[in-house]
Amino acid sequence: MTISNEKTPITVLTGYLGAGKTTLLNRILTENHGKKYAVIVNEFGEIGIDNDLVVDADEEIFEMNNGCICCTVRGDLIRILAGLMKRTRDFDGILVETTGLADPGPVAQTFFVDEDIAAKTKLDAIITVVDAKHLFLEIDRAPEAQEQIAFADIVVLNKIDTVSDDDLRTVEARIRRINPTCRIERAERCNVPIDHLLGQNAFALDRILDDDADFLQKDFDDHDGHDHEHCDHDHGKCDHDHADHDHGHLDASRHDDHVSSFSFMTRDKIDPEKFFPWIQMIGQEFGIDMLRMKGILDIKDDNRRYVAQAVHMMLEGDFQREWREGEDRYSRIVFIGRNLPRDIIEDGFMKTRVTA
Amino acid sequence: MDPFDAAGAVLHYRFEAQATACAFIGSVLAVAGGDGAVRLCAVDGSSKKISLHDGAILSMASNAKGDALYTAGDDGNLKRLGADGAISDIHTGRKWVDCVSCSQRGHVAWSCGKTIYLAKEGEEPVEITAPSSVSALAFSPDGKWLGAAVYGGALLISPNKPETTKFLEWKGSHVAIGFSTDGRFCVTAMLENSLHIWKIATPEKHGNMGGYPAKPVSFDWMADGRSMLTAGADVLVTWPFTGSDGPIGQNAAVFEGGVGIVRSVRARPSSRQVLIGYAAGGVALFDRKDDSYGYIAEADGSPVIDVRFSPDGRMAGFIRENGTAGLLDMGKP
Ligand SMILES: [Zn+2]
Ligand SMILES: [Zn+2]
Repeated sequence: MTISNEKTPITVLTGYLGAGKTTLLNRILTENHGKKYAVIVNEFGEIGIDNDLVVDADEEIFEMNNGCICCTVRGDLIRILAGLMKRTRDFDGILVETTGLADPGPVAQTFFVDEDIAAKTKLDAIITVVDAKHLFLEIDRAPEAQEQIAFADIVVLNKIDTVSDDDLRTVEARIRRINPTCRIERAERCNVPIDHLLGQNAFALDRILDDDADFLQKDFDDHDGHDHEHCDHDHGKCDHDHADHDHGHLDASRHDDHVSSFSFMTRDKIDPEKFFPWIQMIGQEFGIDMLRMKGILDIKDDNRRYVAQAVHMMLEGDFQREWREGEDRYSRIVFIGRNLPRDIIEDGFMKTRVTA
Repeated sequence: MDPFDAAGAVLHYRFEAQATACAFIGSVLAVAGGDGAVRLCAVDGSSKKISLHDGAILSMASNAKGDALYTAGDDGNLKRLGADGAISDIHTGRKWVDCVSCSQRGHVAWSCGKTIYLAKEGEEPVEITAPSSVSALAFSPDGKWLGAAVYGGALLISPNKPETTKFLEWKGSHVAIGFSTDGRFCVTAMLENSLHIWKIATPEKHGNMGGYPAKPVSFDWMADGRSMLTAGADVLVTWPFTGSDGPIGQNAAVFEGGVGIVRSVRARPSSRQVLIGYAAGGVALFDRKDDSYGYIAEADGSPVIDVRFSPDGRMAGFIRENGTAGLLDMGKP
């Protein structure tokens, strides 16, 4: 027998009751892909799951750090994952279904906090299943849905056959405003190819903002037309006051949104002595409302890309691969959160640039 | 015995499943596996596999009489394996049996999520609902309390009057529990790499023991009860239990010279020796007489998740997560 040192991938499925989460779960389990999954289901699950290894969970939210309300983990998940890791490894991965209204934050943070869990498992991706029609009609009144989208690596936009093409585009634009870094998979009855959902490694640092080049092309150029402009200059050389105009830093925030996002980029080098204390401070100050942060940084005097991510206050980062010969070197940081003070964060980030 | 002789005398075992727990019945080391089987390792080097659960054994305990083991499985069963080989079902349910513990006075307790079952061996259990899922169970040596590590603190239950409970409160997630040898203090390990301690009679007297680089999930008291040994650091950390408030307000002592992070510790009965298992797989015997370390097993990369002595202190045993185990006859302590 070999006891594998490979970390078991965990895929988290979130989404409202009725969005198609359980349908997707059953598709993953029954499709012929030669892999076996252990499934952790919530006690309010919609229908039966046909699988050998199903574990019931009661979402127990545990506060850490002496009761900080954002530093929360899923206690039941720690217990169940630790138990599953004791088994003779008769499965290749673990699927975690959360309740309809669940906040994915504690699930994600569990993997940051518990060293034993982190040693044996890895969060592969958070997949949020949404009902296109329901989302179109209800999203403004559903902060939980917005937060589930905010945390997602992949949004399965299900039941697209129930809305018009125009409405579908509106919904997609709305998802993008909440979360510009997620991938949207359109589906009718959750018919997304399984390999688009599993094996994503979305939380691996070397994959953070991996589609960035793509992003630069698509989102800088082909803008979806809401009411701000891109300025065509590099912000590193921008000499006007950022506080009093609304030029486009891929700013997707709108006042009526509960959750929104923005990102900043610069081609100036980042000064590590300024950046690290600053991002720590942002985590401390705004962690409760900062749902996810992702960044790629071009740190001065280093030829490697520094990659960082955060879920609320929990930050991690490391140097990853070297910048390639001739690669467009830049730093970009994306914040997704609840009413985050964009001006303050932008100003702070821009001040971490190396000053000549 | 001389540690060099000891290292040569260790009987090594390698099983085809992860080891999850171990316990002694008499001089036999029982090793529970992730495949639902228990292996009984005898001093003649033999081992016998007994399949008990359809799934992993999550926890195991031996009773005070030393004539039975209780195994808790993720198949929802608690089983009793007698020293005579008899197997009986104590509990069958749908939920995992997460924890099991036996008292010095013939009680057995087990838990499934939030539900704690408490019984005199051979009798019907009473059920107690904990405020959250139970991470660990332990009886105090004086038999006065059953302790359950839960979210927000430790729930204490009187084994003889289960309606009598006490909640020792401290914010956060508690993952292991134990009692000082005199039964006056309850200690828990926390998710946040610290230990918490309460004086049971006056729980407003409590303290946090922090600064560990890893979770100090394993801790034990020296045979004389005068200090607590803790895992979780790259040195052996001990806390004094000499004053009336135990370690509250006191400093820890550290003993350097180990090999990496300590994962498991156990004091040898009637002795000043300590068995230490390391996260990297090494096993050491530490002697408080001269504060010396002797290595009885080399690191093989897999954490030593438990180290044990037989009740008479003669046999030492250890298990690693990867399914390897060791047994050593040390002679009379
Ligand atoms: Zn926090
Ligand atoms: Zn500008």
